[in-house]
Amino acid sequence: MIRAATMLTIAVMLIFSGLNPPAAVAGSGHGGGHSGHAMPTPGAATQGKAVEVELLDLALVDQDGRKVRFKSDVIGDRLVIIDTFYTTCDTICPILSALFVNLQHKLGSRLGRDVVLVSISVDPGIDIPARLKKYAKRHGARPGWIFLTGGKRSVDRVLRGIGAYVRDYTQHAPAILVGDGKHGGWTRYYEFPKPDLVLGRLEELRAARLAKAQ
Amino acid sequence: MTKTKEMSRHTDSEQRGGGDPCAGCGDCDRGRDALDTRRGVLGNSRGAFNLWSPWTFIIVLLPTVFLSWLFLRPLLAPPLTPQELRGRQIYFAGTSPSGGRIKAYIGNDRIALPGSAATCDSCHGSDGRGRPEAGRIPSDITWDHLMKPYGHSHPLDRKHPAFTEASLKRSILNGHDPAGNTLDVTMPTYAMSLEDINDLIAYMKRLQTDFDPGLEEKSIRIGTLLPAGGRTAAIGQGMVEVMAAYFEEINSRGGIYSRKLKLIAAPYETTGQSALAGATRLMDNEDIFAVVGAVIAGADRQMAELAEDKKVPLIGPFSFFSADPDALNEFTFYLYSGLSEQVRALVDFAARDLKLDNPRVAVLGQGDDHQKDLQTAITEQGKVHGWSAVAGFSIVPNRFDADGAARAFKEQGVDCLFYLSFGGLKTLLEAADRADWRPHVFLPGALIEKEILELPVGFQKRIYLSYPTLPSDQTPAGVSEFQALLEKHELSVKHLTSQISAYVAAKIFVEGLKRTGSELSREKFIHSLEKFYQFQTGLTPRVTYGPNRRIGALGSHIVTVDLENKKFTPFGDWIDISDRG
Ligand code: HEC
Repeated sequence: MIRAATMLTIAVMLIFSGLNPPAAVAGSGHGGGHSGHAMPTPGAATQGKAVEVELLDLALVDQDGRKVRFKSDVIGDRLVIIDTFYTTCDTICPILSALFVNLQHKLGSRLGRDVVLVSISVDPGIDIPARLKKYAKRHGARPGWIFLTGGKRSVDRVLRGIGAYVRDYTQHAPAILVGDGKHGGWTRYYEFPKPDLVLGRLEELRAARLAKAQ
Repeated sequence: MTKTKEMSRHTDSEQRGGGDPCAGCGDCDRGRDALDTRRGVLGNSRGAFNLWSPWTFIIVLLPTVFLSWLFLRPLLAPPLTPQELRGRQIYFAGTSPSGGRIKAYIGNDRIALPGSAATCDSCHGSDGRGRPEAGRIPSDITWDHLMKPYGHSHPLDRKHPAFTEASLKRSILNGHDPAGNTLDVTMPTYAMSLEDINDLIAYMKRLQTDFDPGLEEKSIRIGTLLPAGGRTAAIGQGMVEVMAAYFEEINSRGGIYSRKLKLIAAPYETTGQSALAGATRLMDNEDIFAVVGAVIAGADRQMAELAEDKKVPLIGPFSFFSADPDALNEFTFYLYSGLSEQVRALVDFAARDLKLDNPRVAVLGQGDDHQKDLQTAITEQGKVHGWSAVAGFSIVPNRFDADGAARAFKEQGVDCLFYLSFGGLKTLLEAADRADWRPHVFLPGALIEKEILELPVGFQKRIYLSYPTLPSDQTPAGVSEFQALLEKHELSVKHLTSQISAYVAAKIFVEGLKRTGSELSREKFIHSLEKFYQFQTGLTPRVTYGPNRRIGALGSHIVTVDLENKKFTPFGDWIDISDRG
């Protein structure tokens, strides 16, 4: 029973996450390997995918317990990098957050000025602001890295708007969304994208901005 | 304006926090007992006892408690070797004890992250058995499992023969199983020195027997804190005796999953500071799994922080202030509401049952931190009901111009008084009576004095007290079970309410162990406690915990003072404040 359920889960995950096996698999052709990896894509690296999102201006709550509107307060006119997580998650969330730590480091003083990092909880019922704050502290988050929770309905709607809603939060897949609060250009990276890939996309968005401004 | 004098600390802050979960409702003579013992439990830190002497402890408690700190503990599993300890650090912290660098490569792109961002324990668990999460299924990597001679069948048809040390290293460094299959992308690959990988493997061999502190194959060591000095010693002794007797009962029935419970009591003087010192020693030197039923009043918050810091579960501490709710102390599970939850319940009661509509509220206290906290609780909870006029005043009880104050409050239209000071209420309300000012008066039952029954009759049905538990919480089954325990072990009732609190703490602890099962760890134990829903202890309000809830009986009873008949009368239903999270 359990095994069947977990297998299904994995199969579903593979489909939805666009998961590819690591390059090392390519061509090794061993029988009896992961059936989920039956069609290996040699050397596939995580690629961004252009997506349409709808930024809802609903009231959420940040790690300090402040009420903030998602579109106008959190995103505003800035360049944003968004991920989803939950504080009781031990496996992939710490890794995603480690990526954000890396991004935070590379962004330096730009963080909080023209770029914000946003981590939205997919388990708002449990993730009260105090929990987010503790999580933020553990990862050394600086101002400009905003953690969000709120009423479940609002959070779910916001997540749906950005295409990151999952019914069962424990099945939440790693993905990072990058875009420009002012001009759009949203790109989603599944799994764990290289920080430089994400930062490269930010540069493109910034260049597009400058071009528009002229 | 009220005349407020400079506050002089003529009572200990501990004394202010003082009180007994049941200072009596007049139905029995426990009220009197509680009033006397209140100072006993929490008060006089200048007591004659100044001990941190194991000898006093032995004399007092030898018959009931294991004195294992005096002896070398017989260890079933030998302690970890230096190499295994180094491996342990790699497993749990992802850092190299030899000063080298450990890198984790994650995802399809094999992005390099510090090893600390992807520790083995975060996916495979502190016991190596793996925790399915976020749709990923980290394998069981306990040694026995890895080395099973017939190998493994994993989900998705992945099969491989048994691991060897060499193939295990390959799986960690290159991400292949012994059959050459590539492991799921969620499993990172690692770069670390030869020495580090050898250390890690050495530890992985010990993983399955490297239990959390205080756990052995056949025993669980449990700590408690024992206040010593004057009457307090008797109370502490009464609590420890009850817990020891209860654990003995459990042991005589085979223990919990064949582990026997051993109680280790650390004595301390009656000050909060020495309680903290005692707890630190207990946690650092005594190899205990949890601290149960300890008296920690006077150092409530620091104790919760200490438990968090040392990652030691603190179950049912006897305390009057719960931890800072915003601090989210993961490791402390309270039985009763502290004073700030109680004043919140009083506010709910005033607004919902007495229908006080945006009253003018005066909060009187001694201007210390406790008053500040309680005032914040009142203000916040008031906001929920649309209260907008809450003001605080600092007084020195019995040493302020009560008549002037009463007139001033009357003039300002104050119709709701929270009295958070210990003593002086009678003087104030007599002045109020003279000034014909009759506000509703609220205070935690823990703060009352005997004079409460002597207040002017004009305050009939105007005085409301909060109690985190009352005798009405006790079920016949709960009482007879408890009595049977006392009788069987020939224990005397030294101070019933504190003994009940210790007994219930022990009961919650044992229930948590049972629900956790044989594969016990602190983490799993805490998760089991978090699933407690309306657990019937038989002697207290039902106990519920949750991921964000650490107070079992979150709310309060309300008792009013019948000044005509000079007795306490329970009033209305239990006020549940759990909806505020
Ligand atoms: C981010 C989560 C994660 C982390 C961190 C992690 N693992 Fe794994 N590990 C997994 C998953 C998931 C699998 C199952 C892979 C599969 O089924 O293909 C696995 C499989 C394994 C296996 C193979 C077991 C088998 O029976 O095939 C070993 C051995 C292993 N991990 C050891 C470790 C060690 C040692 C560490 C720390 C240095 C570690 N893992 C860190 C997730 C993780």
